[in-house]
Amino acid sequence: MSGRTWAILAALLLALPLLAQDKPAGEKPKESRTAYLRRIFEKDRASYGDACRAVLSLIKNEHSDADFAAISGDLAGRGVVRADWGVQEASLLTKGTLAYMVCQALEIKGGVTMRLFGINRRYALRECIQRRLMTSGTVDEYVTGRELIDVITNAMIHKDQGHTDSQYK
Amino acid sequence: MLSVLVLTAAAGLAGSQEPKREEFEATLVEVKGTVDVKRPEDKDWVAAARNMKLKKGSEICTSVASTAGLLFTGNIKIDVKPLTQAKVEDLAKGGNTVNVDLKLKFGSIEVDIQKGDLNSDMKVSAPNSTTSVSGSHGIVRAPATEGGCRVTLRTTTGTWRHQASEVERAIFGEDVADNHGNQLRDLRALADSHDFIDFFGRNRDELYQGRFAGKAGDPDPWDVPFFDYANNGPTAPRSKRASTLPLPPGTP
Repeated sequence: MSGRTWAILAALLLALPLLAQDKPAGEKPKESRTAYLRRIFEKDRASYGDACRAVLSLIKNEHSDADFAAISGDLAGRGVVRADWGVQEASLLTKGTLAYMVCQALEIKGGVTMRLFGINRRYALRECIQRRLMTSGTVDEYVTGRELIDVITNAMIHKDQGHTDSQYK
Repeated sequence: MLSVLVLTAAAGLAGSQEPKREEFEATLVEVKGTVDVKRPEDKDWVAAARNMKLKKGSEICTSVASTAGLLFTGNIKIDVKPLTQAKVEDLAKGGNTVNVDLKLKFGSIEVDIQKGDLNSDMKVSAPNSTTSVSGSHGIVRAPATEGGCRVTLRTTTGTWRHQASEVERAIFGEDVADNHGNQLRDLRALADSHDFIDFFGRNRDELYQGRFAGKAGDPDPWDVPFFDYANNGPTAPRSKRASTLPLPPGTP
């Protein structure tokens, strides 16, 4: 066999793994169904992407498998997140951000201050704590995966019943 | 040597008198939304389907707005609530007793045990506690963060008393305790809650400070959402209160 044949064979061998892949190299496989819940449960820090998916599922009342761009676009369109935040999918989630999203998703208007001056992360967190959607904390405190699951659970009950009292009785 | 033989024979006799344990399978009778299961023979989680059989060691996980109904025997049914992960630890029948052990990783389940031919011995384990449920209807919740467990069983009676107003009322229905055995109903935990505000806050002056006599124009002052839990149970529809009360009797 000539050197040229060997070169072609070697190039084919190198290219085969790339050709076999459905997706371009570097793109992570799409996570579907309930796997994200179990992954969130084990995480020390929940990400903004986790919260977006969970909150959109809460709003739509069905599980959402869409990618982050579609989910965050949908949430921005509904006013649940602000387009000028510029938060990345893998960014760590803070309690203030989560509270803002939950208040907007549940259409919680808040008290006098929030009605007068509009919603921000600090007022939203105070409102969520008062309604026992979230436990105490500060605006810039990171949210653990387990906390995120509890907050979404409480938010679902709040959406159904108008309060979260059944969680505490 | 003789004593060892005698003991061994006695142990053998005792063992033979115990009813034989026979494993059985639970059936998924209801699936709503996104529900996954992982049976012992499955390598990964698979989508749940109606009439699927779950044996000992199977796990179930529900997503947002998704529920599943598990039928163990004719008289034991469990509803797996949204955002829940649970595992069937034990599932066996021995004599006329059914043993069901469920391990709740997070989330909540609603247990419904009806009286039947078989006695039920059911345990629900949360990360830090175990609840035995027998002949009742109840909800067991395991928050993901606290690692604790809240239990609501509709099997007990008691008295609900508010110290400040000296209002006392018998409760027939649910009993609530956290995993430390604290009775949340006795108002040590409820006093600063929304329920308290809901009930006492709306017409507190009218009802408890003698501004008006009698029931202060409210045709049924007890007919408020808080007591719906006690009177009708957690799954019953809540009462709708009028936004404003009618004027007190005698008002021109």
